[in-house]
Amino acid sequence: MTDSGPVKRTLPTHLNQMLTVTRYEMLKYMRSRRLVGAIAVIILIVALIYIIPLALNQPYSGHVTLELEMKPLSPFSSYDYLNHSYITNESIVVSINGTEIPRTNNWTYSSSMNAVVINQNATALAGKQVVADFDFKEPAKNFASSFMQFASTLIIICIVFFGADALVSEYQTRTAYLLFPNPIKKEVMFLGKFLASFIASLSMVGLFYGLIVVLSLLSVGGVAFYLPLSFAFAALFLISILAVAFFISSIMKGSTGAIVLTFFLMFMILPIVQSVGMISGMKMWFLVTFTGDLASTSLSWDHYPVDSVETYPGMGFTLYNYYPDPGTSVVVMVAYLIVFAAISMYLFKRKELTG
Amino acid sequence: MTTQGIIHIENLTKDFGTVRAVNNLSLDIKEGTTVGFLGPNGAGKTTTIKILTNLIHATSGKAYMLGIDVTKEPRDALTNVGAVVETPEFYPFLTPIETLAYLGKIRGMHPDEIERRTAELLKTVKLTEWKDQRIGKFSKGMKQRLAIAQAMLHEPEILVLDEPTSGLDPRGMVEVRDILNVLHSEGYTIFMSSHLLAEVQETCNYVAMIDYGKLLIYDTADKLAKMANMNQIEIVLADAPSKEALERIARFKDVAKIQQPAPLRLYLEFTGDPNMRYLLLKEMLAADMKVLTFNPRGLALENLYMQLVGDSR
Repeated sequence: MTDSGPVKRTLPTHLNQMLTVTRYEMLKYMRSRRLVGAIAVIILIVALIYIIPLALNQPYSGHVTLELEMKPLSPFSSYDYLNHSYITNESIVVSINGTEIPRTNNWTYSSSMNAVVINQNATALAGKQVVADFDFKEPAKNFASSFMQFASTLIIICIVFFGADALVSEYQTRTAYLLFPNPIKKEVMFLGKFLASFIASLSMVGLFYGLIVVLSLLSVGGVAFYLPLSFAFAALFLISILAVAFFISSIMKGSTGAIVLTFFLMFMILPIVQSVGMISGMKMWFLVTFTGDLASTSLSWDHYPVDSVETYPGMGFTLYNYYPDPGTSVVVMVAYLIVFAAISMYLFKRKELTG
Repeated sequence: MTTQGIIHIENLTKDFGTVRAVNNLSLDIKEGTTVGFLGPNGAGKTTTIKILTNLIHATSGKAYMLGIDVTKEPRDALTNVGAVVETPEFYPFLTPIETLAYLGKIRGMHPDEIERRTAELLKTVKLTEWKDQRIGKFSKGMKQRLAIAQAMLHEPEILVLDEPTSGLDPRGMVEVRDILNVLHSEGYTIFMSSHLLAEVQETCNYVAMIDYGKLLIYDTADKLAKMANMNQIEIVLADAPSKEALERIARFKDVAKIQQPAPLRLYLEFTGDPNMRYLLLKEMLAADMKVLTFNPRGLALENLYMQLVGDSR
């Protein structure tokens, strides 16, 4: 019991209150099964993407010793294909009957043919054992690209885990009766929760990128140059769809409904609309899920893919390949963030605890 | 403003669609009083408390806490208010210590103060042994005790409690009542709703009754007890009375009605004064009725409640 009875209080700043909400929301996430689930999903996705090529005997780098069967190219030269991608030109060593042949004036590597060309007649080499030794290494950009195709999917999963029911769960689980009668503005509470969801989701995306960096260094000895740029776009995409998830959370009455609607909107409804655009020739630049591809396409920032049209006359249709324009997509994502965050904050503020 | 009470409700109205849950309610609560807020289910008690604690918005009217209108400036108005509304749920992944630390930080308490108050309050509500356990494992009664602890955490000037003993076992109810009595003696202002009239009579020095969202009566508990029409007498007999004896009592002056809910129990509607009540007892003994007890029936507050609510329903 108290010694002196009631005490007059001075409240902390809005920022302090927001950070307090964020801290305890994070604590909740860290102790929930969702965090474990999200980490498990990320590790599973990364592991599958990484292991499947290895399981299909397609290593990311290595050394190959290949016996060549030289075929005539001209009266003075012969060739054979190396039958492998991403060969390190400098690593190629050619030997005939066990004796290494110097490259200068004796043989060349044709990257366009992906073949070794020896300056000797094929007939002269008949009966001799011609062997090529070489290293191969997949470019770091290609390595990262195979993972980045799943970046937007993974970001959406994180949002479903950490954002879809962030607001509505307070009402459904009745914890609002504990939190809301406190001297804290609903807007501050909203921002604290939003920040916590963003940090939790971004941590998972960071884990995804971190695993890619580690695997890339181990497997191909380098990291894609534009991976940090890709991460920045991924973070922007994350925060923009988090705003959409919070909007859904502010209008729904139950956690399950909010999670299911967010999941289907991001994984089915918007992608279907996007697909219709690819067939009908309309670039859906305004869809937030379309802008999510920026995390993948930005890896080719120096040779950014351009929209293309593929016609299939025999099939009777045309397929349009659209890529998000970086500038437009950034504007779209920021617009989604501002509009949906503002609406959901307003709805959260007005929503009454009537149950 | 200076003449207003520490809680001042002015023409408060709340509509849910076409249903008016609170109807032009006005109430002024003086500092240091403990006010029981009574009314049947659906009377508007919880709705009023929810407006006071910023859980819902008033359709019209004002509600001042410490002179600040909670409908306009809820953050400032709730700075020195502790509340338990319905039976709140807690975050299941947090422990009592973490929960109280969370709420203490939001309310502007220093970490040392939070630690000290947490230890005191968990001891008060008998949850010290559970201080490091996650609340997800707690029973409803334990959560209710923790809810009361969090309301008192920052030593607020006002406590708003919505059925504070709900979900507690009889011992827990007694303990909460004891806590409320101590808080009252320490100068806290307590505004509590309850269905338990005995609890209100025991802990509150003021009583407000509402029904259909309207204030029926608001006065000191003593005055209301005096106003209660204690006109029913409950009599317990050792033997079943004869028909003749009952007819004789029915003819007695000021006896309006006799009910016999059980063979050995009688309820008499009696309008006489205490002297006539003594004569009635003598008459019963003269009629060879073996009277074991002869008492006014029910609690004063209960009688008043039944009269007022019965009239309004």
